[in-house]
Amino acid sequence: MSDTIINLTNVITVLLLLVGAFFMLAGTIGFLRFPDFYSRMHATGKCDTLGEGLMLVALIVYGGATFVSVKILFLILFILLANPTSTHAIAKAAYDVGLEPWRKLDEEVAWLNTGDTGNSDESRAGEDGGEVR
Amino acid sequence: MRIKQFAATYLIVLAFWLLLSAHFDRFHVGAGVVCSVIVAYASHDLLFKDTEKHRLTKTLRFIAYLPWLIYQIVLANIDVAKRALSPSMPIDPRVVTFKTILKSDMARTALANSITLTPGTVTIDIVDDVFYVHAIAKEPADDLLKGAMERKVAHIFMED
Amino acid sequence: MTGTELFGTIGMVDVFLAMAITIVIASFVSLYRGIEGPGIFNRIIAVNVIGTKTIVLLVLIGFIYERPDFFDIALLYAILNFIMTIAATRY
Repeated sequence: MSDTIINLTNVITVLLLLVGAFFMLAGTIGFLRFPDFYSRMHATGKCDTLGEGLMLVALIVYGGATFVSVKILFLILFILLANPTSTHAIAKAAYDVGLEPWRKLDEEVAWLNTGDTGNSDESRAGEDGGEVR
Repeated sequence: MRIKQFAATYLIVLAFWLLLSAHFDRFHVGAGVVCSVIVAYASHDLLFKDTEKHRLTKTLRFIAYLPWLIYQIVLANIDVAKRALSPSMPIDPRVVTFKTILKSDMARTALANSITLTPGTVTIDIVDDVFYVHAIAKEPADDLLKGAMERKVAHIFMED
Repeated sequence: MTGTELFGTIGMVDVFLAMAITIVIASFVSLYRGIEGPGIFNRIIAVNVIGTKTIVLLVLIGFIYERPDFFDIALLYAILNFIMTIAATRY
């Protein structure tokens, strides 16, 4: 049993796990801090996808070439496909309901649905924005 | 043509079963054979369509596109993490719209998912050929409107 | 797979346990948004996020206790989570 190779595998595993956990925590912090619903989607749709993908890759490295690794590989592919899709589905549902994105400045606005501006002013003033009926 | 689709779907489904079950005794393999017949019969027209041309070229180009996509995903994550962790939170969200040149549903789906995974942008809606994209700040929106990614996806699906 | 050591007395199982605890803490933090967050859509995202974290947690538990059954549960949970999100946004 070659000690160094096992240790190298473990070190790679731990590094990947730590990087993945960092991105996951950053995504969670962004999820809490961002002012409105749509910005939170950025945090969850990206950071969670990569963070969890990296943690699963670390577990593949740890497990080696077994059937378990094949299962985890399918899991990664599924998460990579499903996470943006569900992000998109939630965003579309919110946009259809008429939830206004939070804006920092009043500039000329590109969205086409003519939601009333009073509502958007209100949600901009509120600390957590993104107000739904 | 139907029998070819059926056979291809059957083989894929059976291989998937064997990989996931990881048991090779008589009972498990037999159950897999029977179930694969049922599933392949139900879904033989979903996986492959005979109207499609140049399937191999598209697949190869898509595989060549993946490393760039993964690089973009990493960039996106560093970007979002930076914005989430910095105390001043430099975000300036906006919604932008643009018309796409892509025709097929498959290409539009690929573009929408790529937009969601790349830095600072999330696809909200697609109405006919107009994309509604939510950008977290000004620069990602400008980058998106230059259309580099759209040309890449168009190249994959041979629509350029 | 047991007994592989990172260095000294810290085994890989301990690292996995630490990661699992991190995920659980992150889930609880997200749960705040799920309870407090204004409106139904924030709650849907919170549920989706916690579900995705739970997938990784299940895989980690499978490695900690060395029970391969958990990977099947994780796969099923991923599919259920996705379908639930789609269904919740279509209602």
